[in-house]
Amino acid sequence: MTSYKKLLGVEFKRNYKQLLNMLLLLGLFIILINGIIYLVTNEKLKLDTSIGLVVEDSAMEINMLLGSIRNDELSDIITFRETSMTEGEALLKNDEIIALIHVEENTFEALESGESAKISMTVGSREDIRVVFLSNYIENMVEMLNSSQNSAMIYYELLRENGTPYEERIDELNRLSMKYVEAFIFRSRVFVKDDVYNKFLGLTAIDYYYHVLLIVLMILASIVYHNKLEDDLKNKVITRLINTGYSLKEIYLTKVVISIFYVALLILPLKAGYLLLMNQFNFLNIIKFIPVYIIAIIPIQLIIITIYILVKNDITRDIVFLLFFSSLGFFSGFAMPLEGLPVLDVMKEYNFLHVILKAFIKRSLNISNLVGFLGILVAVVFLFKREAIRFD
Amino acid sequence: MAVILLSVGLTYTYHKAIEQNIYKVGIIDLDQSQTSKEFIELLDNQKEIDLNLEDSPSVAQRKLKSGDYHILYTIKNGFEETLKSGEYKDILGYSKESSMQMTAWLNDFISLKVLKEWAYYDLYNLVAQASLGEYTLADYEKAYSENLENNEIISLDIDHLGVNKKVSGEEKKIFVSLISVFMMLVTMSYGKEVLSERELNIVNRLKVSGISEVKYLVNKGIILLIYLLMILIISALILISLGVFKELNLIIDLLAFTAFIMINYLVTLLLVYLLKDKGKYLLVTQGYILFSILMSSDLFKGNLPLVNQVKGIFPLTYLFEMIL
Repeated sequence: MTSYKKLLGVEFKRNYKQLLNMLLLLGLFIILINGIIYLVTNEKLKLDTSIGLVVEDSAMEINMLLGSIRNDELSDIITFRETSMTEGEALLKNDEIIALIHVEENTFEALESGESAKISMTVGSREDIRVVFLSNYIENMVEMLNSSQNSAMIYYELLRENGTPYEERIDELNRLSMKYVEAFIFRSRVFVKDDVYNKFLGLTAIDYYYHVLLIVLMILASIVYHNKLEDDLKNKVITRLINTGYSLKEIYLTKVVISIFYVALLILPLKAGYLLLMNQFNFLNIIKFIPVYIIAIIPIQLIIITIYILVKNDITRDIVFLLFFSSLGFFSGFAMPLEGLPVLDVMKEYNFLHVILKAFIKRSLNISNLVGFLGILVAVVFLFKREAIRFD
Repeated sequence: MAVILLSVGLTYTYHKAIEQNIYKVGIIDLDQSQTSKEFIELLDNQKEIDLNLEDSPSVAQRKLKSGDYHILYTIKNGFEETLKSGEYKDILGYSKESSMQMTAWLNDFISLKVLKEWAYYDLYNLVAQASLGEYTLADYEKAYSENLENNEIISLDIDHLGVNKKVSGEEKKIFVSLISVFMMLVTMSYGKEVLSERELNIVNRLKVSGISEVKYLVNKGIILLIYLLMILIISALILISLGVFKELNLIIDLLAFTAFIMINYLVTLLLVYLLKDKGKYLLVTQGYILFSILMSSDLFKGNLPLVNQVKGIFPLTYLFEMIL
């Protein structure tokens, strides 16, 4: 036991430089997660739209119309900037807004004199698809208001022809006006309650990819750590250790234990950082995460060591790592969650990387997950015993 | 070649992605009425909506989940009947992925279209009731189209400034970020070559044959510069021909990239002569590239003390400032 502890101590000390590698991987993680945040938030890019508003009329109708466009649901994708005509045109030319809506002073007073209220919209580019949609959207809104007014006036004329007294006709128009204003405000009621699903295992896209990156980092860090194994084999370090009485099992076990420790120095703070950002941080959560991390990393470590031992050529080995982990990662939904593809959906449940992802985000595991994970563990232990431990 | 393919390919893919239709929409018509068909046609005429009529709800759901659609609408059974009876609630359904916020605008657009139809029929019902059935739908339609212009309460004028859509800042940002990082990687691996040539005593042999070390390094630097500028120019020309870039400040951009390449080459030489060992060199250069990206990407802007001073050390910061 004492001599095994000594072996652990030696492995620990000769790998302290791994801390630098972990630091570099941390940098890579920061770059990648920021890249993902940029891409995910830019999913809205196509509609992430700023519109300039020059409103010189404070009539109630104008407030209602603009309030209707500026409702809560749209506030996430459309930003309104109150501005002046001169500034607005400059913003338009600089591509900082896609359109400038102008409501002149006393616009709605025109209605009293029987004219229509004029709203102007200036757009910069005809090519911008957002401009096309915005133009159609505003036209649609105006069309809806004009259409109801037109129909209401047909009804009003009919009432007049029928001899309905003026007061009653006005009351009827006011009643209709209230009814349509209400419908206009609550127009989302045309939809039945949303049927919204989540393809990111119940998380937001950023949370999902954060955990995917943790697993990718765990794999990369393990590959980087065991890079030294190649030198150990070439320089007969392992042979010398065997000659001093250690078994191959002990030597590789030491490597796995110490690498789990070094990789934990990278993964645990990142998990803690995530919990901190999510306001879920407490030590119990971290302690609960440690066994999950250890169980998850063991098959990864064994696979990596086996590949290092089996594939001697550097380039071939890198290709094997790349193909093996990237294909498994892809079919686990690491690049994009694979939903709606029946065969892949089933296969995914048996994929151990997907199982690890589910365990990392505390999703309950099903029988397929357990079968998949235990299957790969048994297979890799078998291969490891057969190929790695008989080596040297 | 790989650098050109990657930088051009990724920038072009991004450019195409933001140029496509805003919405990819699936629609299922359970009502199969005249009104529902007209409604679908109405949506299909919007060129910013890529509409696909689906027959099978399960196939449509699968397409939605596999990302073929941003949103899937279902026209409920009784759509026409409900509208004609003067009601408008719960006549459409939709399914979408929870992060798909951009569909809110489309939902609003569609609800306005439905509301317009509803108001039309609701008023016709009142008209028919007031005329004791004498006023037919055809009469109503005729009166509606004849009076529409006279009864307009709001008019909308749309002017175009005639500004051509600029090269998207995002596209240029992506291109410059990609190509500059590739340039750093190429320069650093070039440094590795210098290190190997020193290890193999090639430099000493050149000295013996009368070529000084400075001359050797200058020559290598010139070859690197020509090679990287060629990559930059070819990539930019391809993107211009593909219509991704319409205007470029060629002289400023070329000068900025020339300075960037040369400074990185000097940093590489410094590391080669300081570190001597290949392992250490690789570790430090990887760290240098990572920190260059981190510091110049504004990730820590104003968040940490000394960041603004530290970022000034990295040439990538100045390249971004000059070009973007």
